Amino acid sequence: MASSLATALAVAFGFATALFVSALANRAQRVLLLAAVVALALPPFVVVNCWLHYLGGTGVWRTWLNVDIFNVWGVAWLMALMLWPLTFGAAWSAWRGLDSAQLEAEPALSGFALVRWLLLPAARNSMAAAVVLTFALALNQFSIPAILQVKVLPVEFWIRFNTNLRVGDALAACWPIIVIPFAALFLLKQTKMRWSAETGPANARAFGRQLGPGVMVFTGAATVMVVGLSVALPLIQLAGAARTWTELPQVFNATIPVTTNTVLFAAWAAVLAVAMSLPVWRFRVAGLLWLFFLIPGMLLSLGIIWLFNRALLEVIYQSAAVVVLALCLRYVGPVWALIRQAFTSADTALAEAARLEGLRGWAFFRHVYLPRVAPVVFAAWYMAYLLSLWDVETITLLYPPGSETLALRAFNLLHYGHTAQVNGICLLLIVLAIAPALVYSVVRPLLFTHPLSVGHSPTNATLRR
Amino acid sequence: MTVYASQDQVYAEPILSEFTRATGIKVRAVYDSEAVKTVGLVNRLLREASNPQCDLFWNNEELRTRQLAGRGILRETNAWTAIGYRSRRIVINTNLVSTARAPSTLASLTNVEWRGRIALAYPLFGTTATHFLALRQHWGPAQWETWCHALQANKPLLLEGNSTVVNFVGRGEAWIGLTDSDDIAAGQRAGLPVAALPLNPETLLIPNTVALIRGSRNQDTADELRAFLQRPETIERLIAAGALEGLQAPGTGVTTDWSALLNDLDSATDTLRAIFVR
Repeated sequence: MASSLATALAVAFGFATALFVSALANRAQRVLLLAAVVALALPPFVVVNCWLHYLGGTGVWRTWLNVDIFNVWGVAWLMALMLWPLTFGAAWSAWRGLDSAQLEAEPALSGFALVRWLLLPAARNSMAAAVVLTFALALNQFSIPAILQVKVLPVEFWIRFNTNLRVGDALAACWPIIVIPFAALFLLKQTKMRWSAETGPANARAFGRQLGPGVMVFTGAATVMVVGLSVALPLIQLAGAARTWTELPQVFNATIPVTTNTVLFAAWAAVLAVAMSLPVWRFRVAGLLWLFFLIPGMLLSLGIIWLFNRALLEVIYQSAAVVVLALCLRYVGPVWALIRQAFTSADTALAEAARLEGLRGWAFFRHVYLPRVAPVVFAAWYMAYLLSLWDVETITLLYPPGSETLALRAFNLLHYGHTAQVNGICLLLIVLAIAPALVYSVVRPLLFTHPLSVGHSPTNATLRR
Repeated sequence: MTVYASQDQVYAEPILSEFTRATGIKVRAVYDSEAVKTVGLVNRLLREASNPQCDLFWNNEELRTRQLAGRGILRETNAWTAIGYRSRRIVINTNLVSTARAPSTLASLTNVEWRGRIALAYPLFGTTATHFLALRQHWGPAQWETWCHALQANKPLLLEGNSTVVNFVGRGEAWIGLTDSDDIAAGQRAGLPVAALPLNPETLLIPNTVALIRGSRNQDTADELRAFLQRPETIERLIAAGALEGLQAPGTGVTTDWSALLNDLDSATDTLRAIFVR
């Protein structure tokens, strides 16, 4: 129930936010995209601690807002505030591919009618995939229900696993967390996620005009609320504590090797996931890679122990390579899906034109595929990087001596009650999360040429150059 | 050599570094994560049984070490040793509850006076679970079950861990709690207004345990480290750091028949799960 409620709320939040953001100017869109990334990158315990501070038993808001968050609704609310960016990203990117003619062909099609008859169908497939992902992530979420004392399947699984230390018994008792990923995999196969590589001809002004003032005010208010509660509130609480800043230099100095591990593991795992996905984007059977993402991370790590803890493969098992491999496998499914979508949505007319012009090999890839695929490949890499930064569940049973990450360190410090140090680590992780996006936004214009289109067919000589 | 340490990293790391300085033996340590409720390493030892990576397991409690011994993960002889002790205590918020008024027994926690004001970790995990299971032996199953029902009826806050219990009590979200002595000590060091009530016959004493892994690659160095950890000086350092409470267990507290407890583990846990539904 908690997962279903969380999914419903997250989808509503993400959809409303995407509507509003799609009608904003490019710069404002980028700011809100960054906010979505931060919301997705915030660790669960920071979010929970923040809300306990405000609405816990002695929370500072309880005197005027008597809302109890120690229940299913509280769990759903917090998970929704963390997971809305998935639906937001799916819908926003689907609408980026819309043509202005589609928006303006029928002037009467505006407001909620536009949403009902054009925008919702246009984003339906992408959103379906986002719903499945959101539900799977909510279903596997352990820490929020545990802290808010709500009994959910992952908590039950851990109880059984920890009591008698028999994995089989735990799985038998909590079979839905295994069955549901397979069902999710089946549903994902039926949907086609859209991730637009470039902005379509529809401009934000036309989008806003057709949405109308009523929808804009409503979705604008929803966006302010969602971004305020999911991003601003935890960050204010995090940054507002004076000890967070006084501890930050010490935390940084004390965690330099751990920070290095964190960045390297996340970056290499993401690179490996992209490298694995690129050669197999054509093969539908590679969709099975999603299973590594949908099953509980702990099961994946048990499988890796079983496979690699033997004489022949010990060199991997005893090194940090096992952590990189585990993170790569965990997130390669979504990476593959994004890359496949980027290639399949490439302009086939342009590809034909380029072939007729005699373009082959690297020149073909560079001019036809690269400008369209590169942003998505980066997005896929970035997603895997972000998810790897905070991963604890997958690597906690695997990491060899000396391979601790910031996320693991944060969990342990939290156990000792070192809140200021944990806050310092969280700030550090947020910086690490945002850094690649900032670097990319600077480097991208220098690296990639503008994508070609059929209507702007170049000469053979131009292409070869 | 490789050490798996469920003892908290802040306490274990300096001791292992000192061992390296004293002997020249390099120790590569993996510490347990609270994310997996501190049994991550126990599960890892089980999964690695066919090709052990660990030489010595330093645990901060006893039950899991006994489970590992029962599964044949530890050496056949002289497999593990208990060192020092900490204890399960009632903790109070000194601003809200005076020592005189505080409940002196666990049975008192079921008084209506404390309704909604008690905090404890979810009793299916960690030392809280072990304490509850030991109390079952101490009181007998019928009395224990009655007490569990009465405690649950008093609407306790069931939290994610023992340190959280101390934080909740320290912040006044609960007035009293049931937790580990080292967590109370950590709370006091952090300036929280908390105090531990004295040991009594219902207290569970929790030793650290040092276990040697069957088939490990560095058995001699593991023996050396075990001897190092057993030294009174080392234990005194752990006591000074707040990881342990004392060197020799005092003559009070519940006596536990561990074989019987392990035999009853599944059924008693099922009872706990049924009573403490969240």
